[in-house]
Amino acid sequence: MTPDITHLERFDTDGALAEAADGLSRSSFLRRSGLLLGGGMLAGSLPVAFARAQGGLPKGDVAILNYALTLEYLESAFYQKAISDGALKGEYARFAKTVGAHEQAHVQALKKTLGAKAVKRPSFDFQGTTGAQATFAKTAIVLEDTGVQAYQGQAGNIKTPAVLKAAISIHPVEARHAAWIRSIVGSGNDPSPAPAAFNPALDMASVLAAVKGTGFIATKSAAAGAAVGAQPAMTG
Amino acid sequence: MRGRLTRTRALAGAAVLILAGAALGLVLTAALGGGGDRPAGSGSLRDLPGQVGAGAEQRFTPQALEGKLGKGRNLVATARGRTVSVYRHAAPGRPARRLTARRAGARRLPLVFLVRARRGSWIRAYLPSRPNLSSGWLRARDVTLATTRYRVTVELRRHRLTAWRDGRPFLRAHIGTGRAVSPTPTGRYFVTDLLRPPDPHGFYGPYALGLSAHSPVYTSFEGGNGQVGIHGTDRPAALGQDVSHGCIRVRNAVITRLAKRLPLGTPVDVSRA
Repeated sequence: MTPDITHLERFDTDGALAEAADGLSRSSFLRRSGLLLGGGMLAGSLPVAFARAQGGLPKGDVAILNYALTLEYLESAFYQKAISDGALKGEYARFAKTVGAHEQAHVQALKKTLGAKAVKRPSFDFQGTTGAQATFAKTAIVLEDTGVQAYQGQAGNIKTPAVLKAAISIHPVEARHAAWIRSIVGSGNDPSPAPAAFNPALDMASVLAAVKGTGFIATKSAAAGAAVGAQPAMTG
Repeated sequence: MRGRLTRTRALAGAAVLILAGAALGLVLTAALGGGGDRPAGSGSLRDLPGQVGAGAEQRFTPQALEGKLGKGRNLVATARGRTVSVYRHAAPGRPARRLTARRAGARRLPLVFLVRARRGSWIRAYLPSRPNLSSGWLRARDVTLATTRYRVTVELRRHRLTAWRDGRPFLRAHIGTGRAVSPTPTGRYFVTDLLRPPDPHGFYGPYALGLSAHSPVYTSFEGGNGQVGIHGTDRPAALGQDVSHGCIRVRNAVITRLAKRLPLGTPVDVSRA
């Protein structure tokens, strides 16, 4: 099931994304960026507008955005798979549908920002974690916590103000996801939706190594060869 | 007296504020430094099954996120274009050779490789060309990668072929192998192409899987370059013997099953056993 991403403009409730449009008014920015494609697309349009004005994003920012895009691909695919597996009920299903739409919006925004420089969507193998509500919830907590820490870990490395503003518009959304799933699982107790006063960041190397270790990102599997109708010229 | 008390209280208050500020600073440093302990109850990817410790990746590349290949799986590289440059070493420079996709009739065949190793943006792969078992380095950007969960083993003396999936055998078959004067070469090869002969009941049967192996005797054969393959046969009674010019013959039903399952690039390990 494809998450609904047609009503994402509501995510820009305080106009922060539009404000980040580097001098453009919200209305003119919306007009210039293709209008009403939603908050996710809006977020993605900011750096594009900025980059056009400035002659391109710095290499380091492109790397960070591709890093974020890959993590968003991972989260988005995880929720899509969980929904299609059909093991989630009630609040879990609502969580997966809503958060899946958010993550897909993040993917769209980052892809639009990066344009031709966007990395391709990897293949995923969630190792059966989406087939049962308990393993889904445990994995969702880990993915959302990691998403929060990963964005936080790059905040100081982003050079382009518009990219930073777009990134920090995503970061608290990931934190809300983390709190939400923790709240569902622990009913407000354990795991706590707000476990500490300060949140640690994770550097890129730690996140990459941890994601790699899950085996969730896999090389795609080759299909059987397509037969070509022709007389062989083998040794027989 | 009152003035002295006030000064003392003021100094004590200042000391408390300084200590409190220092403590807060320490907490902030620990909390925001990125290396501190996680808050209680915080999830970590390392808590999930099959974790590894923190690595040392310095730059982001999507390939850095790919997990290890599963049991019995191998990587296959397919050329993006018609030609691929092959290098002696994993370093830029003049290519050692350029390989071009072959044609079968009017169709151009895919140019595939079996991957031996990966190093950054380079891939070491077995080549589909002579000499047998040759390998070289390819630029990762020149190919697409996929995994194959299949493998084929061929035991020449036993006249037995076994096909494996995820490390488990799913098919065993009696085979015909090369005669002493035209032996089937041994070593690690891979499936390079899949052809469907016009006559499914003819000499090659309904399908022929071309291999990266080449005859040590014939440098040309029936218009080809002496390529060795696995194919069907119109003489099933001859299976279990050394009867071929180097190819591996199987029953038509067997080659049909293999053709429908094996991806190009699947390893084929030929041994004398």
